[in-house]
Amino acid sequence: MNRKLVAAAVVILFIVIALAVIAYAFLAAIPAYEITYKEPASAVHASLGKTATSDTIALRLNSVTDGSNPATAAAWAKYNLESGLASGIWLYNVSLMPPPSDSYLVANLTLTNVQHTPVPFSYAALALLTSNGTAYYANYPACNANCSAQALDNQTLNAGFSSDLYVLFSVPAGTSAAKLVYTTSNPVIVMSAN
Amino acid sequence: MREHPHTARYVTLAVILIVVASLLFPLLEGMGAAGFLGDKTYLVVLQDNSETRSTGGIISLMGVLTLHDGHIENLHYYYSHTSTTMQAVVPLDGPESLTSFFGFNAVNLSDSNVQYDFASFASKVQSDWYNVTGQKLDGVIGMDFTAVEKILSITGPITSSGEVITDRNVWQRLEFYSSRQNGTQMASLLSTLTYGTLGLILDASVPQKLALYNAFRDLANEKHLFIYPDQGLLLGTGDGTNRAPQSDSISVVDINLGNGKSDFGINRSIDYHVQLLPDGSAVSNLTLTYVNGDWWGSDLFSQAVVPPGAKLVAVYNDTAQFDGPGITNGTDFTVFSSRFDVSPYTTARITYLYTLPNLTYGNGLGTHYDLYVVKQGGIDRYGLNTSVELPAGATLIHTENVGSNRVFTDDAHVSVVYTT
Repeated sequence: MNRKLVAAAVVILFIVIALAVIAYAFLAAIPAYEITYKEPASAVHASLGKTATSDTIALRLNSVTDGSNPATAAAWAKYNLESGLASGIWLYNVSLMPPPSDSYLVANLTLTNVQHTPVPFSYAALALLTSNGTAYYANYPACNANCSAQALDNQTLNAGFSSDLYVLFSVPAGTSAAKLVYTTSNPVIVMSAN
Repeated sequence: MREHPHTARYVTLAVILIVVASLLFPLLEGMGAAGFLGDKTYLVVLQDNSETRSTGGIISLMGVLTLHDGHIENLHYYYSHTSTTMQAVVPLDGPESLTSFFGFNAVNLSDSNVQYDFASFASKVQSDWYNVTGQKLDGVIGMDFTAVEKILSITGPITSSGEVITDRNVWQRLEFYSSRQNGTQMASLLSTLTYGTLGLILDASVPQKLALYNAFRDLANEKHLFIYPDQGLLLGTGDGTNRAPQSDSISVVDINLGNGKSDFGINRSIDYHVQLLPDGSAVSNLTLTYVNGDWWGSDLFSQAVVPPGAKLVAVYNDTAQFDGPGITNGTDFTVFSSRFDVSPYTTARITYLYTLPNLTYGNGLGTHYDLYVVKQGGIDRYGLNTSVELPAGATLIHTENVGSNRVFTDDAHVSVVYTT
């Protein structure tokens, strides 16, 4: 009987451990977080290549291309170098090589100050939206030296400012951009990517 | 043979005690580390692993974190480029392969992570921090941008200084703050993340807690997260100590001497051919390959840490602006060090040919040869191609991890058993 008891205890222990391992593996799965963005009713809209205007800035989405596109990569390299030199600190060259299973999309925008006074701007308020409303907030910007000093270093656009701006977005591989949205202007600016 | 009447009871009791103990020890360690058994003060070191340094990456921030009963009692981050504390000059007591090569023996505190492993840096920075600030530390936590990404994938997005930060954009956001020397925003992001992570540990659902614990263990194994001193079962070998035993070993410790954050675009691989001789000694051919897939170059100082007694026979390189090799003979290791450029879209290779003393050992099964490849902190992955040439007449019994095109995200163990 004693041997049976020991054997039973050992078997039960193994079963408990096996169930614990299975439960652990199941419970320890990392949940995936996705942000959805709901456009406010007051948002102003523009189609690709057209300009939309808020109270402080105007934005025109010229293109959204994959980072592996040679022309995009060349522009990215050129403006990373110019941005770095403009900052007066040191070069920060941001790679266009995404991690496995991700893609880098680069938006080319034209940014304009529509006021006669300096206005605030932050690239971090830009989000790329998919057709189902999933939002991917901006990763990194690059533009020419004059643009970089105002839009990126000081985050303030002087009167008369107008420049192209490149903004990197990291998305899951295979993701297509449906819209680009500038989330902090009044009203919010929504630009179609197609 | 008659069984003792209480045997079954004792066995059952022993099994229960083992299960309880295995649950209790990590719990006690966790509680101790979280300040339940007395306040704990840690130095938190954020390393930017897109610019490689010996222990993982250039230091972006240091913070002092005090925990009381699992809650944050105090937290303050210092930005490396503007904090006078982090600009304090501290003496270096090595490694000789670096100090002799460049002829300096003191650096800023923010540049002092030059040791071969995180544990060696952590013990020194504890002492340096006390000398500079008068503040005693119970331990040092190191994490790189990869760890920050992973932790954010579990905590979910956060809002810092009005910006939405996710696991997808945190890396480049930190780079942007750094490029503009915006230490305030960087510290704000890390503070929010630190409070969020501690809050998650205390208040999250069981699946989230388990996911976080799993992530911490993976990050520690892959050397993106360190907690010094060792927390035992809690995080395995998370203190970053190089634990290669007395056998053949390779630990490549690189330092990016330029800037431009180039290391994310460089693929590293190790090719190692070892010829075992009848007396157990060996002739080793170690080639380090760097493939730069990006559009800017890297100025690398590479230290190959190999067993003591290694004798360099020859060095070959097809790198730009080669400087070296330096040779350091220590009691616990030999180091071959070189400086070279890895130009844009090019491949740089350096080969060290050296002899090794007898590192094999025998037991009843035959003669064993073991190679431990120690991954550098901060590096995401490396390729490993190994081949082992046995002494003439030897018969192979078993191999492990011998061959080509293997990719590792943590340490690797190569093993060969043979008879002569």
